[in-house]
Amino acid sequence: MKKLKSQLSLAFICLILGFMITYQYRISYSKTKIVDTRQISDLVKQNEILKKQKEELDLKVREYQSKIDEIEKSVTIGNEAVEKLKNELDNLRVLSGLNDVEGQGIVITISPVDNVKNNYINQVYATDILDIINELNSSGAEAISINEERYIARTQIREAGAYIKINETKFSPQDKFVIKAIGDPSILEGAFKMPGNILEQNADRIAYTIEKSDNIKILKYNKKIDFKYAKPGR
Amino acid sequence: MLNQEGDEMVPLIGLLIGVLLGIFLKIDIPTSFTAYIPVAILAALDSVFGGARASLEKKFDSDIFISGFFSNIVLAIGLTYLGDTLNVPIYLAAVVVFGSRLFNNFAIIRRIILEKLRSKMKEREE
Repeated sequence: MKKLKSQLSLAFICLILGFMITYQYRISYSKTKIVDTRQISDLVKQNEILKKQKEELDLKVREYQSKIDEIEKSVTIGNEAVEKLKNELDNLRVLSGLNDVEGQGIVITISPVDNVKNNYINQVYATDILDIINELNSSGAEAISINEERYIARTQIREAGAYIKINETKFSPQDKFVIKAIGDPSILEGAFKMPGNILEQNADRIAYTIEKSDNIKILKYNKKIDFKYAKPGR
Repeated sequence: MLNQEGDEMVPLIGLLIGVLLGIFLKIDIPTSFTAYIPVAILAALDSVFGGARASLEKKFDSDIFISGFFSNIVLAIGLTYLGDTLNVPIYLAAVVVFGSRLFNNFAIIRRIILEKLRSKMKEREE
């Protein structure tokens, strides 16, 4: 009887041990596999190749876009109705951010302050950018882009892991962000000159410069917009 | 003889059940605890080897065994936790001690088994 009891206790302990070992095994193999340095250099190479490809494809997109513009122009020549339609289309495109636009406005550059006193690394937060855009919109900005990413109705600006994602493009929060806005330069600038404005509030974290410019070019939104669920209502 | 072998199977069956539980039960231990499992495994292994040795030496006491098992695990985890909070790798102490004890116990187990085998051989020769 005593022997059975001791065997059972041993069995119980073995049960716990077996569970722990298999659990640990499962955990350590379900985690992302450790990448060695060779893989990393491969990945870096791939990343570079893909970046080049992306640039080339971006160029092609612009090329084709200019071709489309030419075709549209050639179609409209000599036909009043089509010309009006084309004008309407252009207006709608400006409204939805699907056209390059240029005009006078301001350029705001923000970058995290290198803080020598604190040893934590400063960064720009998505909310900083959102606040600035909100302020720009409230002072009548007609077109806004952040690091050449056009701000449209469906633009998302959010922190995703170690990046800030704008229009699905990743930016490092330690880099500088260039925010361009087209509108009345003095009104736009005025929004950031009032005492207690957002930039001033965060001046200890974020360094900023504001430049007025007469000729700002803001690129169009260059990704596909799908409407799957929203249908025009009556 | 057969009964005795059957008894020795019980811990193995326990181990098997534990392995199966580990594979098929989708229990999620909170991630903050996962760092302590390796040390706990080492402590548990040490206790099991200690228990095996004791039972070979016919000195096995289930109360001592079970209390040793749990207190070893608790102490190992406690040390690791303390080390984590103080930023001192105290868990190394647990790893080294349990590791060396594992080897000690294993050496003794090996000797006992070898002696048993030898005495059996002698009996046969006689």
